[in-house]
Amino acid sequence: MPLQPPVNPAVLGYTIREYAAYSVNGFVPELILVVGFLLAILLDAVTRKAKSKLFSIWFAIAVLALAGFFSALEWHGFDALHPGQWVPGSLIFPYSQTLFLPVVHQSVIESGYSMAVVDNFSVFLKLLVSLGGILVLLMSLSSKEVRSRSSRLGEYASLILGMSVGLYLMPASTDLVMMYISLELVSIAGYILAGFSRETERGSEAALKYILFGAFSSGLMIYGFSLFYGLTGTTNIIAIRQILALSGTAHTGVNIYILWTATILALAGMAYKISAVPFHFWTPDVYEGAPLPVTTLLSVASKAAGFGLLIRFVFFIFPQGRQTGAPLIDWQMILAVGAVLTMTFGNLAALLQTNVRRMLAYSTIAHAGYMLAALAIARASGIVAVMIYLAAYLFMQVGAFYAVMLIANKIGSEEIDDYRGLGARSPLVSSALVVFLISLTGIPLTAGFIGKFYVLSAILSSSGATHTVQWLWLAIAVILNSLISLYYYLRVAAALFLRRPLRELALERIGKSTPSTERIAYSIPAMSLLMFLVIPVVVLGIYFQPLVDFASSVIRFFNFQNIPY
Amino acid sequence: MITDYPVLSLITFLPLVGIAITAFIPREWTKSLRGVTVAITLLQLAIAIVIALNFNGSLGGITHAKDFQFVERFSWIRLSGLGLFGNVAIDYFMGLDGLSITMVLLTAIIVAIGAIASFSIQRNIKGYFLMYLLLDIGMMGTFCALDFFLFYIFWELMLLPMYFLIGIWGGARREYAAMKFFLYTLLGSIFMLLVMIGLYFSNQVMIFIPGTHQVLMNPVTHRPELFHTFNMLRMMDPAARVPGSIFDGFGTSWRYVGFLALFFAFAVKIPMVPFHTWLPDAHVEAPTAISVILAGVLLKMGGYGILRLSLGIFPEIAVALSWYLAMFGVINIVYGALCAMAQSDFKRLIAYSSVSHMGFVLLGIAALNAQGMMGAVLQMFNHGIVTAMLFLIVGVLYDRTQTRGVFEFGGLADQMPRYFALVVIAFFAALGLPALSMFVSEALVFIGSFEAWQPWTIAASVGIILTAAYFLLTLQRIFFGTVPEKWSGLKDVTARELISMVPLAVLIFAAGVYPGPLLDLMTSSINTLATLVHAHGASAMATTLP
Repeated sequence: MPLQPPVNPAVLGYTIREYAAYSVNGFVPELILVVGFLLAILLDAVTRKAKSKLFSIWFAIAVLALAGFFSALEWHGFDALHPGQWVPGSLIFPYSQTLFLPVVHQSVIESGYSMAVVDNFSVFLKLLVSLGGILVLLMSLSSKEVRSRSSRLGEYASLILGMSVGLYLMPASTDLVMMYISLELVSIAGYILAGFSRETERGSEAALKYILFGAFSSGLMIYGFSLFYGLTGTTNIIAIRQILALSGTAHTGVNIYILWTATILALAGMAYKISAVPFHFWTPDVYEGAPLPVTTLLSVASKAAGFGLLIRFVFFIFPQGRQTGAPLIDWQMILAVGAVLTMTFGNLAALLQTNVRRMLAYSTIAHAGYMLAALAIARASGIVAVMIYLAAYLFMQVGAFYAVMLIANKIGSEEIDDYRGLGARSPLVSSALVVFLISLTGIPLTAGFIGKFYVLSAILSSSGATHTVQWLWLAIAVILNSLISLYYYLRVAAALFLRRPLRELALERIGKSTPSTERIAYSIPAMSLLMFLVIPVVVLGIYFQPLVDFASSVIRFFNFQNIPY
Repeated sequence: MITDYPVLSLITFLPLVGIAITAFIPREWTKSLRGVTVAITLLQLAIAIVIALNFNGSLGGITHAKDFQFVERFSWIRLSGLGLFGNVAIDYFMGLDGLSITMVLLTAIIVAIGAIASFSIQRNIKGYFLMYLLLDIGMMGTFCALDFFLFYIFWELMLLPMYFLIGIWGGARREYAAMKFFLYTLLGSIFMLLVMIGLYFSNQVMIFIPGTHQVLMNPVTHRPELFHTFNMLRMMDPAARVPGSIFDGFGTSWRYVGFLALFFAFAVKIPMVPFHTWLPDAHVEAPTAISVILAGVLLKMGGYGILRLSLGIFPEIAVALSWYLAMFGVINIVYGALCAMAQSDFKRLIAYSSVSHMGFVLLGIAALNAQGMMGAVLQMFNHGIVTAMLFLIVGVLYDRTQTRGVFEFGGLADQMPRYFALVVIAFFAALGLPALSMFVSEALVFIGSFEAWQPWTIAASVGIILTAAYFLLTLQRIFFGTVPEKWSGLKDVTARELISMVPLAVLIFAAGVYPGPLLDLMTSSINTLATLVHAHGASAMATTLP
């Protein structure tokens, strides 16, 4: 099928106002979430019994599933090279291929471009967010930390829905203001959720730290955004790109130092969301203090949306990387150095932890580093690699946290030393945890390997047609870091299966017979959810073609002439 | 015909059946748990023998896809039309040539012996055999795979089971040894991963539509659609290279880097000094059966990988660096022997003797002629058999006394005559006595390497003397003299131990007296490989074997 000519909204004969009304169609998933959010608050207000409070969690699951279903309907098809017919109704505001043309179309300018778009990229991340949200809510059902505060369950469910609205909008927004608002929406819901166990010392500490760091970095970000507005006179990222490109050739207007400052400040806010070094300080404390389901939500859904925002920002404003004629912002090098720092710091810090949850918290920092490395090469293949990684990461990270939570529910501890001998007492959960950890390390036959494989492929593919591999050092940093990560992930496996419990050893030393190890019983729904998480981790490791096809089609939001791939 | 059946998938994935059965057997039924694994591995051995009997030794293989036998090929992953990572073709591609058939045969033998030797495991038998069977899949698959991606997956599949097998059922320092093994091997294989990705971007091939002889065409351009592939044979083919890609060209510095990174992965496995330090720990701490597997099969993957991949894909670099390869071979031989001589722990001694013996493999490969490489492959096979037996011998003593100190024993020759006889066979085979198996392979290695690297070969002969010295010393210490008081009650080998060791002893004799059938299996493959290397400038003795 030959390429279809891009369809311009003005050609179709709509006025801007008609268009705006029409494009509400594309907003359906978000509307569902907003209505669900409001209903959940109402539901919380009218119910009193613990059982009906529990219902609100199921309600939130249903709302997320419905929203996910409607965003799946907005999928534009799989063929990346043949964009096909552009369907106007599926957009929030006018957006088409024409936006990338050097001459800005008048009608598009009048509409102020778009605030957000519906494209495969945002749909993919919305689906990840929905899936992550649903898994987290299912996880909350068996979480002691959440269930013990049964009077606040309704609040909990509604907050997750509110957060999801922001998470849906983050990867979709194409305007600095929209980006900021959606990010703040996520953050504010996150602050409250992080303090959900506020009576405990660690819970309140987590919330406070999260707010302080969040406020600080979002302040930096909004300052960066305001500088962008000052430089270009617009907040739309596509318009900013065009103005920067013009100023590069005309040598007018844009002060390169201010542009650097603006870029770094704006990236700071996003680095905070994906917990990249040096904006990671909140991560371990918040992940440790917040209830585990909330930790999972922050580390999976919030990170996915954060990467969506970051990709949209850097690739839309500076799409050509180093080759751009626009004022040279070497964002590739910023991301590359940030990536190496992030993964190395995350891994080295995780090495020192004795608490499994804290170790996983540090390791999420490292994973952000791997994904940043794939982005730093400024190619479409890097974006695809990040999408694949995020999907794999969703299952394995949720799985690891879930297994840790199940164990903590029973033995009341997350210390590695308390995990000793658990392999004999609860073989199934321990084995599942080992599978997730192996997947996080990136060893074959797991989804994590596929993620890492594509990240490395993307980095090495950037060689182009010469005998060089420009980013080889980045690839080597990634593999050496996976080696470090193996050490601390294996320590958990070693505690589970290789070591004997400390109590048993102590009893043996004073000559007492050791008590027989009793099996730990888990509820059937909890076990089935765990198994449900193991399956994709293993299956995606063996047959990953659908995932890669799916992830490859996200790059349809690019103009193919401008992005090297 | 047997070739009509997917025998390689059968032999590789047969342990899956065992895993499925084992998973449903209650953990108390120790006899059935053992029985299942032994049955599965014996069945595997039977299949391997059938394969070997039906193997046509006159076909070369190596770079010629048509000469591979028992080939199974299905498309596994096809990503096309995206232009992001190129068109991607990953195949489920299995096949055998002379190199791999010997290794498959060796693996089947060793795994069956190991399963019988595993009867001494007492704790958590179910978990043990699950891991053992999983390991089995990885080993078989590695030798059968002809697609690099598949090869890599099988290669890594061995790590986790091995980690647990050493870590749970091992000796006192098991956790340290298991972790060291895992980290070391992963360090090697991650570099292999990078080279694999680089190689995959460096080649492009046309793909046939399944079931037809038509080339897959691009519907828009009406040209053949080009796919990047992980097919090893394509990676060896200079015609399939993408012009300007990193591994394109001949003797370029990137190809040196690629060769070295790939070689590193295999050097760790062999293990080549100075990357050998994981081996004594892993061998000593692992339970007997796992030491047998480690020495018998896992070390061979290094040599196999060098022959198949390093030589096949980067022949000109291998030729250029063969002097250093020979040097490392000699260092392995001499250093390993010296270390073995200094050990008082019986098992550690055997472990270092492995290092020494695997040096012959390196030296044979470095000779780059048919005799040397054939000697290397044969040495891998023989070393597998002999070292398996040596570790079983250590196991016999350790099971009875819980100690492995060489100096703690004496005079056992009278007390355990059958044991003594077996030990003598294994020891004399290991020190290269004529009429026993290792003599043949070491002689071949020397014939080959003397043509190519005379000084190194002469230096290596020191290793032979040292080997004889430490084996004879050990024999003397354990079996001659007087029996210490505390060991006066030691029993001779049991029937089960005999079952596991006698077949190996028979094989040692057979392969020493009449190695012909084994050599026939691999001759034409070795010749093909030698021709390939000579085409890239190996100078020494351009002859191939009849």
